[in-house]
Amino acid sequence: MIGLTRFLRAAMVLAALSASVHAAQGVTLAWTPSTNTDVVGYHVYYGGASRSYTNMVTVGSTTNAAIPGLVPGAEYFFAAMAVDSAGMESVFSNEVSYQVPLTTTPPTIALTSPVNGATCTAPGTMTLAASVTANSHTITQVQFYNGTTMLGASTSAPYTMTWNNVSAGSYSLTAQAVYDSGSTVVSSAVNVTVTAPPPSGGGVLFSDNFSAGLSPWVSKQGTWTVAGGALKGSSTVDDYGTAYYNTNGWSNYTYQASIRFSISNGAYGGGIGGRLNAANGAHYTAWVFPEGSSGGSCVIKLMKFTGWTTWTGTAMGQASLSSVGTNWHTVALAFQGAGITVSYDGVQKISVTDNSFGSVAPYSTGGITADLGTYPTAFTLFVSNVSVTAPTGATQAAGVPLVRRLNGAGSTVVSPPLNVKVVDLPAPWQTADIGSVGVAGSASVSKAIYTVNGAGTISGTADSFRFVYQRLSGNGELTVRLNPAENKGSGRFGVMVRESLTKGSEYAFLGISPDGTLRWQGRSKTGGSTLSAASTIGAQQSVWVRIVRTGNVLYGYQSTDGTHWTKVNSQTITMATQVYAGLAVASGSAETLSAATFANVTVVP
Amino acid sequence: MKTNIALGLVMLSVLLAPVLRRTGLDPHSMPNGSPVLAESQQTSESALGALRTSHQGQPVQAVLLADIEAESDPDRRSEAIERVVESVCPADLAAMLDWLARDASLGAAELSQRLVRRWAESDARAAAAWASQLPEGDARRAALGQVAIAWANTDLPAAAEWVLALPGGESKQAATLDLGYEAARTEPVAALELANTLPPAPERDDLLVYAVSQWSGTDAATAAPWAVKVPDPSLQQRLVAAVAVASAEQDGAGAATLAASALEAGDEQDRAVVSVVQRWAQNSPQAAASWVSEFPDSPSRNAAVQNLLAVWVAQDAEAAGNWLRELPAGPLHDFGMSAYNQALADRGRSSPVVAPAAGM
Repeated sequence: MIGLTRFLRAAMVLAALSASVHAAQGVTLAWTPSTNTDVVGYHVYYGGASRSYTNMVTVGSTTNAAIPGLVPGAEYFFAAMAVDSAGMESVFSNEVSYQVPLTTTPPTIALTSPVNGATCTAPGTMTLAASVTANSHTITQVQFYNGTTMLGASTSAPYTMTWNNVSAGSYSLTAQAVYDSGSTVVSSAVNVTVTAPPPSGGGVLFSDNFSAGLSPWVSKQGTWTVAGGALKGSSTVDDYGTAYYNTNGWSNYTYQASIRFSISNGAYGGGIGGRLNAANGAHYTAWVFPEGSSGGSCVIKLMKFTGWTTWTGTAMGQASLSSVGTNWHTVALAFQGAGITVSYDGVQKISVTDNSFGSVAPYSTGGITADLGTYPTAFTLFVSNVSVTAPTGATQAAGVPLVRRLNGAGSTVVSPPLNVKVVDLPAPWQTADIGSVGVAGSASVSKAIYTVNGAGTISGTADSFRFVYQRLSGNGELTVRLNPAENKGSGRFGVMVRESLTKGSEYAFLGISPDGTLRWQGRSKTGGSTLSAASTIGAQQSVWVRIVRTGNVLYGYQSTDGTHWTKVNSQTITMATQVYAGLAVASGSAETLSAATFANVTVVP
Repeated sequence: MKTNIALGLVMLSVLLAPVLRRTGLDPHSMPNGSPVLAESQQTSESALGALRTSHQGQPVQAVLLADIEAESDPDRRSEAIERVVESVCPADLAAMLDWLARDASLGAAELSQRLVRRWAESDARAAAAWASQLPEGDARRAALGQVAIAWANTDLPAAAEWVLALPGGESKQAATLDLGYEAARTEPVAALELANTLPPAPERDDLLVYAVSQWSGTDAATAAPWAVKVPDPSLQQRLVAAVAVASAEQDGAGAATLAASALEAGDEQDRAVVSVVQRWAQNSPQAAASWVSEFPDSPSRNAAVQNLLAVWVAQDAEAAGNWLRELPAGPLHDFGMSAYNQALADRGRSSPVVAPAAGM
């Protein structure tokens, strides 16, 4: 007597490209062995009805058998017999049944519209569309969500709906397919931003998308840089930071900008300011205080600064906000005579009258600011899409600068003079941020010098950095000349061979580390840890580095002259045949960029 | 077995000593006369199991984690994590992971990833079962990915079956991607199958390109017609370009034909063409040079010439010079001269004069 114990698993095939992974339905049976020592094998009987078997499979002396070719959706009944050396069969074992699943693959769904990162102007109208692969299931409806709020549903393909009158703000959209008897599957989230419309009025006095450097902004307090189309400010913890554009003559205007915080909790606050007296720092500000701020959680305030780092201590007006987080939000600060209004994501939140207008010069005219207060946690404030618009018919004082617009259609473009021609990367080079970086990197080449800006870190089990790369087939090498003095921060830059462009990919890296040493790093397993080793390079203006792939071994070499080479390290890293070789730059922080240049770049792919 | 345990305890003693000293828990100077490691040895349990009891109210896991969190240097932090990973006995992996799952710190997340990976490398099904019961979120995504990668290297069909049976959601998609990339190294067609189960997205397309690139390195004859038939025009161009580049080393002429005939003019074709020249030049520089000579004057032709000569000069500078000499005067010859001299300089060679062909 033998006992049939359990199913093990359904078989699957991953061999033919044209076949579904579930095309071959089957089941594996296992049973306890017969105690009869004369047993030489087993027969497995099965059929579509209990105890009525239409098929038999002869099995050797093993105690399991895979039964392929079962019909999806059908129920089968199985029993086994032991067979002795004379060919005699035992009685049947117990019977087990198995319902072959129709399919084990659930439906898939993707939100195809809007695309991730899409922006529009409030009041926005969005077409939401989802693509559903039913995988033999019955789709009853597709529901569209903003966060946890259902916006609408569609019961038949094409699954679409229109979302009207969307106010300014950031939204996370998903689509959910409801199938069969109420099961659900949810798409990946798509993040979209609706910005407040530009202020209406008599004309744009100034706009800046920060594509052409910091100028004309002046960094007064803290650290202000321009990267990734945004002005970035930070300061010492428990201090103020301000960047400003001193215009003197502007009086009545609306200053609007998009702002966001780098952290979702623990930032004190920041925002935009106007009517600045750049001689002493007096100005008005509209500040947002995000979740957990000691200045008030989720609040927007109109404040009056009497100097760069001092204010009256009492807000002129304030209003609660539903959320701030790390999303972009639109803040507008409008001056019209003594009247001042503050809007947040297109909705007016504060309206006050300040009789200082006209009597105290600093609060009557002046430039614009971006400013923040850092306490108790260091964070970065991002400011982008700046526009300053004059009301219709407004008059400005003499000496107002010419309109400066950057990259707007039909506008005047002002950019710093360039001594050399900066071009896109030549073929076959490509560039991308690997992993999650808070600030997008960039790369360009001029006179055969590659300049790469990158944020992030190259370490641990996952990397984030800027990569300028090309494909490497099998063996090959990459040689460059680096300037160690360029590593002023906590980042690292150098040459890399990388199996894939995913964050946990295997790689080998040779470059300059923060302590000025030449560092070899490698990850020999996808998603595994990084191993590293350092070697000194001495005080020199440049160092040549070369990374070589020979079979599964990666070698690193250094040279002082590009001719005589010394091996730095080697590591066995078994990668796929087709990999990537290139230039890697990481600043050491997701939120800041650092730049490195690479000269004498040669590749044998 | 006892020997292994004892050895593990000795190693853990070495590992823990500095940690415990920093936290006032020096095993050799405990005020109550009960050194923590001596206790462990007496119990004959696994190292972590014996040490799981708290000392002065602080579990040893917390001490280990604090040691990781205290390390700001990324390399030393990584090394600290590895030391802890190696110190945990297999029997304690589940308990350690359960404990870490209650800790929201970055160190706990990093350590969990490495422990799940280690577990999956020795018992993928058990690790998979543990990872599968985690709630949706970053920890689940990371754990599923680590299991998928480890399992792919021991039993790809079983790993695929498990991943495809996971409930839908971002974690499943991420695990499918992780599995696909790992599968692509040795089973690129399986990787394509996995990618085909994903909804259309840039991440899926990246995996398809990566997998077809690996496939083309060994079977471009099958990969090329498959890529050409992909209906999405943008994806099709990326796939065809990947096939051309990956196959160029084995069949430069075929790759060149594919790049010229199946790719539309643009960045994708430019990159593919230059990449084909790079590879073709390593085997047949003269043939690659002849192809380059037919290109219209463009930045891409210059890039192709530059890469061609970088390879050719390293192999046979004289032959490269002869090719240049026979070119008619014009932009191609002029740029070629510049590239030739640069290639010589990069190789530390002097620059012979190569004049254009007489009468041209």
